[in-house]
Amino acid sequence: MPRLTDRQLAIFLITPLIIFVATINLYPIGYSLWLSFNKVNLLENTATYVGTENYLKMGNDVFLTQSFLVSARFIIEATVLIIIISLLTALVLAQRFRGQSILKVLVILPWALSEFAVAIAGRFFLDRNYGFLNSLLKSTGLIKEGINFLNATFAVEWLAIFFAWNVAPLGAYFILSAIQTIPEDLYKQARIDGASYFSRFRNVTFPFIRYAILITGVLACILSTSSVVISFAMTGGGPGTASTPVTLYNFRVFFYNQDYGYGAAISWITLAAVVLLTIAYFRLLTVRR
Amino acid sequence: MKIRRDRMLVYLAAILIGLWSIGPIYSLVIISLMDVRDVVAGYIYPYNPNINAYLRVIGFDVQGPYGFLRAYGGSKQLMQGLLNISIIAPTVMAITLIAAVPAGYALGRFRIGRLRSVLIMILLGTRSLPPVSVALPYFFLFTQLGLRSTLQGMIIIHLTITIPIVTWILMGFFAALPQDLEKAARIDGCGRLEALTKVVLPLAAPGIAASAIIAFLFSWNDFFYSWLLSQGTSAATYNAQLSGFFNFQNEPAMFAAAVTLQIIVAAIIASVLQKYITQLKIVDPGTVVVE
Repeated sequence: MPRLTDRQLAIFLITPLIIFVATINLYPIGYSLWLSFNKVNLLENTATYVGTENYLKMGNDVFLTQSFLVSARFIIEATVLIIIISLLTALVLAQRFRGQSILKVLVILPWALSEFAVAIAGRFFLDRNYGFLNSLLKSTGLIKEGINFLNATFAVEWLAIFFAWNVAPLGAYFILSAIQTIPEDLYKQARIDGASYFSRFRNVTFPFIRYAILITGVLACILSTSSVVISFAMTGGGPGTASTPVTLYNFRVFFYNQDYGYGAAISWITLAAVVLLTIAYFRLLTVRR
Repeated sequence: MKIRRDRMLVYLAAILIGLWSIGPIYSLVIISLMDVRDVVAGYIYPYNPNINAYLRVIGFDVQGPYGFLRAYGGSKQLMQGLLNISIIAPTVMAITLIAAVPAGYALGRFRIGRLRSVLIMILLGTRSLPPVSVALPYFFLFTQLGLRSTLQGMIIIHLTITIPIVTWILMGFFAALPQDLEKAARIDGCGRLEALTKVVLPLAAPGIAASAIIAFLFSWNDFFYSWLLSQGTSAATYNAQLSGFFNFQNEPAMFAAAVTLQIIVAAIIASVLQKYITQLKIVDPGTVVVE
């Protein structure tokens, strides 16, 4: 048997993966592209070519416009929260203190929960009748009657908070690993120079973790853009449609309205957004830090 | 004095972060340990704690503090779901490793020029494909192939997510391992494959173990695809069966208990995994590989 060259061996090892990954990417994407130009009739089991009708329909859909606003709010709030929380957590975990190893375990726990479990935990935390937050506020005497936290005005904010609760641990660990690459000497020098905490953060820590923060932000954007389970299970998109993001609306168009062509057309918006973000992410990886 | 104040601030921040991290989990667990009446009464600690809700969820009638309580009506299906996911998740884990270890090794270690950038881009794309965009095509495909509501189908759908993620992580992990030992082995006459099995794999064992856990955790935690393709059938996973509790809004304790059972496994796994997370560069293996 002839010896394989490195390149041949590499291609031999990767080929199955290429085929697998290409199939699972191309099939659903191609199929949904085809669907988006057709109108499917389930009873007769037929599909009729309708051109760009499904795409034009989006312009007149007020529910879609509304869900866009919800998505934008959710994505921005979740991303900002994830960056802030993961940065603060990482800065604290980088300190030396007693109980540090326990805190490290506690911090990772929210990440271990499925998006579904997070949604249910959120529900139980905020419920009007038996939610923990209401019980806590009542027992401190701040309120008498239970508050409906998941109301039409603030439901999206609570979704963003719980989504951030779920995702931030990963960002925290990522930023922490960047902090750990900073040479101790730099801090010593800064202390000798009498630099304050904030000037040490700005001049020593920040340049080392800037990149990690950026990556965390882009990933948070990607994850929150495609997120659907948390709104589905925590608020059900309600009250009414007040917390229905595009993804959940899309899901409804598919499985409740069974308007497959139109649903496929909508799904291209989410996909396009995620593809753009992924390209940005990839560019970031290749940029010299 | 100033140092003392700084220390105090660190501890205060640590406590706040700890509370933030476990608050919602704590509230879920205490609700699962109380009778519905005590839950509604608004206790912030488990008052009259008992495991009745857990017993009812797994199918027992119990004598509660306020009277007789029947077992959860869907407990049989829920236990079937537990059995299903206990078959699915380890299988997903094993197949993921078989596919991802060689691929991750090749992507992380070989210089194969442009092809690698393209592959990494595709991997990244797959990893971030929004579930909603693929839901309907998969739904139709799995229905046509007869894979919907079968365990094989569930395993396949989970693999479409775990293989790209784990390959991505292992790629970074292999790239970060020191190259010298492998080179030395090759100079001593080992072939690539021999060097891989005798030198690199033992070195990479912790990373591979952690990736296995991640694949398991994904499968164990998946709700969307399980719900989409198996809900209401005999192949439904534990998570998919949990959605049945939406019809039991007046039984928060049982719902909380059922979710807690699911979380416990995930939490144990994550606390084991925690030590390896920074080492693994889970968030961003690409930084190691893409130059």
